Amino acid sequence: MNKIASMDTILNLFRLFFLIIVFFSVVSLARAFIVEKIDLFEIESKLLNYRIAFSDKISYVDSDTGRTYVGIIDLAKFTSDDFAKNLLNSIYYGKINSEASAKIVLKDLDANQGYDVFYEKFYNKELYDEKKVLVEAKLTGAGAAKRLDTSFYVLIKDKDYFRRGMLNVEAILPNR
Amino acid sequence: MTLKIINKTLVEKHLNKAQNIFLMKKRGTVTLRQTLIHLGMLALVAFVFYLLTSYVNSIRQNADFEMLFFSRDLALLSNSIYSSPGNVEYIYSMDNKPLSIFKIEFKQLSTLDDKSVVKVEYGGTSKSYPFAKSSPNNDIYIISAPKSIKFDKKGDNLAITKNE
Repeated sequence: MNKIASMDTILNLFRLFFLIIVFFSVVSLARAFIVEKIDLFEIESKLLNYRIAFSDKISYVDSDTGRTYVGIIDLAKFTSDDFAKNLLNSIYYGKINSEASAKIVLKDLDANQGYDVFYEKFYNKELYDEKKVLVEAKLTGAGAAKRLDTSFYVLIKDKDYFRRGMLNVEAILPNR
Repeated sequence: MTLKIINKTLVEKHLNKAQNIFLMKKRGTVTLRQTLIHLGMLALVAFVFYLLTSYVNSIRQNADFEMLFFSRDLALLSNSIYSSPGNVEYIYSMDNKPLSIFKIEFKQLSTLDDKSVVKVEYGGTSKSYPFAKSSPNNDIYIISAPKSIKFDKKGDNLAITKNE
């Protein structure tokens, strides 16, 4: 009799265990169909790259009409000391910007100096340096970041001269 | 001698009878116990089924996905409008999604780091997503139950209002 009772107890434990497995399976199955994340990285980083490239803080602006000439990079603006500050204020995420960063490289294709001439600037350099390490380590998940490059053929306005150039914007955005 | 044998047989008979009764009682006890266990299991299964259905029902009724969608969509739209050169007027509406059940705020997350976010609220819960303005001003727009939202950008300033 004791044997039968202990056998019953073991069987009931199995039943309970099976019930728990079924319960958690249904819960996880239901959760699998719930969208809890919408990843906007690609469109958001592309938007940032275009926003930087088309910004009046980087492009030539006709002082008479106020028109911004998108695709014509004003070299005086690009090389000025206030460039990073002006750009940060024109793409303003907050006093502490933990949302977006970028490296902006302007390559002069008509430099004719026997070597390539590059101008390198940053949008939110602190975050860029912090997140670049994580991107290169290929870490994923919360706290990590992703990178997206966009290149634009541009004209470089250097005083009264125009030269061909390539503007490369590399956005690094933290995972959200 | 014969009496002894008869008595012994009678005693054995009674003993067997008693044993049978005892066993039957035992069997009865076991059956009752098993029935109770089965009933308990049935109640447990019913309880688990109730928990599961109420869980799935709560998922069906909440608006988490819609809040997630609108916060991101409106943040992206604000980003796009801020980044476009010149003046822009845009009316945001969704025919297939119920925008009017939400309270939508374009605000600073805190005065300390003045991060701009789109916050979508419904039924005591909310979802928010950051966006970038074109200058560090402190405009806050709170729109409750809008059918559509009007974005009006003039220069660097963007006005966001309820559009009826």
